[in-house]
Amino acid sequence: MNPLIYAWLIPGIPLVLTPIPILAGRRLERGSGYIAIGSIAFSTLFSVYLLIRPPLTPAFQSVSWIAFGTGRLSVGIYVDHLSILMSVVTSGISLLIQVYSLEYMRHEEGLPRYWTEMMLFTGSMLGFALAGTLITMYVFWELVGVCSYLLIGFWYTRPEAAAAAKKAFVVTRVGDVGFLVGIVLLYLNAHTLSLAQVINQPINAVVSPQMRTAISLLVFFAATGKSAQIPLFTWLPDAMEGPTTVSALIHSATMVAAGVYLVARLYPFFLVSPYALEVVALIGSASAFVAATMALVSFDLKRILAYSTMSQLGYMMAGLGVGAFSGSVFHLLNHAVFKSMLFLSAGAVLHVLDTRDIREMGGLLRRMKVTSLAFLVGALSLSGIPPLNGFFSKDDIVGAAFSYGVSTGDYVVYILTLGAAAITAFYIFRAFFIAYVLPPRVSRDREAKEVPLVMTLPMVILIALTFITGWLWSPLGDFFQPYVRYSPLLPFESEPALYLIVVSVGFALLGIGLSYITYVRRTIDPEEVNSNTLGSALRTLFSKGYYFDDAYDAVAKAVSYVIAGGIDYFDRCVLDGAVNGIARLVTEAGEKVRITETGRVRNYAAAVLVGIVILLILFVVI
Amino acid sequence: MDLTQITFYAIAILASVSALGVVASKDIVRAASFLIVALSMIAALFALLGSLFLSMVQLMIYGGAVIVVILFGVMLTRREEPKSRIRQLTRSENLAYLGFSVLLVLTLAFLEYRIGGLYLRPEGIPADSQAIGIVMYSQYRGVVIALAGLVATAGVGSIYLVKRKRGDSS
Amino acid sequence: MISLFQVVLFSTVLFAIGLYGVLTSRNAVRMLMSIEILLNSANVNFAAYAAYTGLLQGIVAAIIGIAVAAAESSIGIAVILLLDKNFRTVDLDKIKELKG
Repeated sequence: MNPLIYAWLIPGIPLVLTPIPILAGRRLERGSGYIAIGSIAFSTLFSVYLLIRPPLTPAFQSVSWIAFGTGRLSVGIYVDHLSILMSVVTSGISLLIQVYSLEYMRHEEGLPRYWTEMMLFTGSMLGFALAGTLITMYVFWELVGVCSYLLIGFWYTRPEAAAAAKKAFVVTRVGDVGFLVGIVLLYLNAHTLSLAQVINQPINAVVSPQMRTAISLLVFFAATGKSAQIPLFTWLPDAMEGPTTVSALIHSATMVAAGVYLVARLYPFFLVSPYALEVVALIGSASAFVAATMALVSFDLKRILAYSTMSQLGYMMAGLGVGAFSGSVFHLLNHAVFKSMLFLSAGAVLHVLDTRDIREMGGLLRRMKVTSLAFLVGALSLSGIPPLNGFFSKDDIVGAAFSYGVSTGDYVVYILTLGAAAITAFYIFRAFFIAYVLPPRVSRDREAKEVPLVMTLPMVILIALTFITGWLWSPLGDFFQPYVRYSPLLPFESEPALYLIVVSVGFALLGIGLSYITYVRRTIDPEEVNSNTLGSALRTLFSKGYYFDDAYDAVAKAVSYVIAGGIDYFDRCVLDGAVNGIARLVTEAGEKVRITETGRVRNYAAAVLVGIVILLILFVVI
Repeated sequence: MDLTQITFYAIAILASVSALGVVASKDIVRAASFLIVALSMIAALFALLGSLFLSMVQLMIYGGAVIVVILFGVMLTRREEPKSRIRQLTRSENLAYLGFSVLLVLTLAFLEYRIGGLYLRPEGIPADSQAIGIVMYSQYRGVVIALAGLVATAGVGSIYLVKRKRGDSS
Repeated sequence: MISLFQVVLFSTVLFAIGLYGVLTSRNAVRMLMSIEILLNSANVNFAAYAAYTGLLQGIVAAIIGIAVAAAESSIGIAVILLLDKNFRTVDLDKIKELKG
């Protein structure tokens, strides 16, 4: 069968079946969950089929949507290795998480809504992955944002959840404006929005390099929103108010990766835009470092993982910026696998213990074996310890950062990513030790017991994948390389030098070790570090999110007050003044005219006479 | 100075004086009396101008109906004692005045009936009732009918207006 | 012989007197009487022209005027009687309900 048909079906099936749970939920009950799983399973199947039998050259097909004047907007698909990879990742992870949700969300109110939103999300994300024109991408980009809003605010009766959903939507929306402006500029210059033309002939499409940089930066601005990079990251930690399955799917594996995917998709365009990739690398590495520091001081397990996501996305962006296209895309895949696993493990703990505070957790190794093992494997992979998958892709990025430093003399990216690696290992093992290993600091009354198979099975599958996907890089996985290569024509990036690998793994082990001695052996007392002036200052800085939230709040308040004040003044003084003024004018005029109303017949008769005389005069004169 | 002129001046002066009396006399009853005289004088003038029919109509309606109505109104609404502002006519003066007016009108009527040359009327068109009737009921038919309606309505309306409603105190 | 002018002048004098009465009378009945004088002066005018042109339409107009005046005076008296009943006076200067 023509592979393009699959490409339309992959997002199509979940999207078309989306309304069913919400419309027939009451009658179907468990059935709506099975519908969701079934449709996503189909998408996964077709995606894997495309993986095995990809088209030899990127396939592109579009349908005209809106025609105006001489222009035309089309909806289309673009099937190449990158989009197939993204589609496999999205549908596969989504499938595992839906299975997990069967048990996790079993006792929730409004379940049909959950399934509908999940299907809508998966379908939209797949649509985004396979999109062939920028306008299609934009539509699905927005849809994905809407689903994020809906799912974060799933428990909409909780004010924190509602506020978090609103914040997520608003912050990403700011980025979306950039995307839209970029699309408009692109269309004005290139007169086309089809990916085939923009990717394959970027220089011909937009002739002026400054315009290319402008467009690239605008698109990247949108990507910072969705991928929670500086400056639009403030929504991600709050987004943890949603169910953990939502966090696992959307805020670790797929939607947040959309920003990275966007840059990767338009990579040929970025390559010919001067300074664009520098900006990407800088912001990516800075976000990686900053997020790692923020994860250090949090006691909320999900928040730690959220910051971790932001940090790893920063790695991916930095990798794209310094030229490690393959490494970044590979890291996208690996991160999706181990981060969702980390979230599922955290979710299991939340489900059983009903708390997100790591101080209340602990002593889970014996009772929740699979869950703890999943978290441990995920933590090791996140830290970049071989032979897990995180090691391969992370190392590639750090190595590329070093090469970049060598070739341009700018080592900032390398230093930031290396430092972040160490801090990453530290905080994730801090979380592991406090939440899983050590006994709880605060006493709790819930018993810890392992979760049912429906929830452990996806975790086990992901553990296996964590071990496997790393080796896809090696000569064993030869056939996998085209999927992450930027172009079959470019030579494959060489492995980083051994000493670099040793350095980065060394930093990771350093982080783990420090974490161990601080929290398990108690050789370094975290309390002491917190209480001295530098420590407490840093702690405040990190826990306040580097004051980005406060800054945005202040700006928003100021702008709103000014605008509101202006409008209020206008309304009160001008509009009300006009209205009241007219009324007053009328009343006062009336008062003056009143004088003639004496009530005496004689006066009225005299007035009639005067009127007649005037009329006569007028009659005679005119 | 022929008779016509003298008559005319007499009528004019008397009518004007009476009209002034209507307006200026303090006592309302006196004013009503002056009004009767004025109206009669005008009737005389109509006779002098050649239309006896009109003068009869004037006397009948004004002197017969309107004055009665006005007198009723005067009687029913009198409140305070009359105070003189200008010199009021004495009783004998009043009588003389009234008598002279009546005399004038009657004389004129008689003269017209008998001599028929006192009034001003161009030759050719008789201004008697028949001619007037012809004009009224052929040319002005609609107006006449409307007038009839008007007068009827006015009559009924004025009765209705002053009718004592149920529950009135006075 | 009398000229048209003299008769019309007379009617004008009457009109002026009647007008003066309407404007200055405090008593409502007196005002009504002044109105009658006004109407009569108009009738004199009609009759004068009828006499001097020989057209009978003038006389017909005068008759119509008389009829209307009669109707109007009866309504007028009715109103005055109501005034008297409601306000206990026919002094027009005292009746100022419509003031303001």
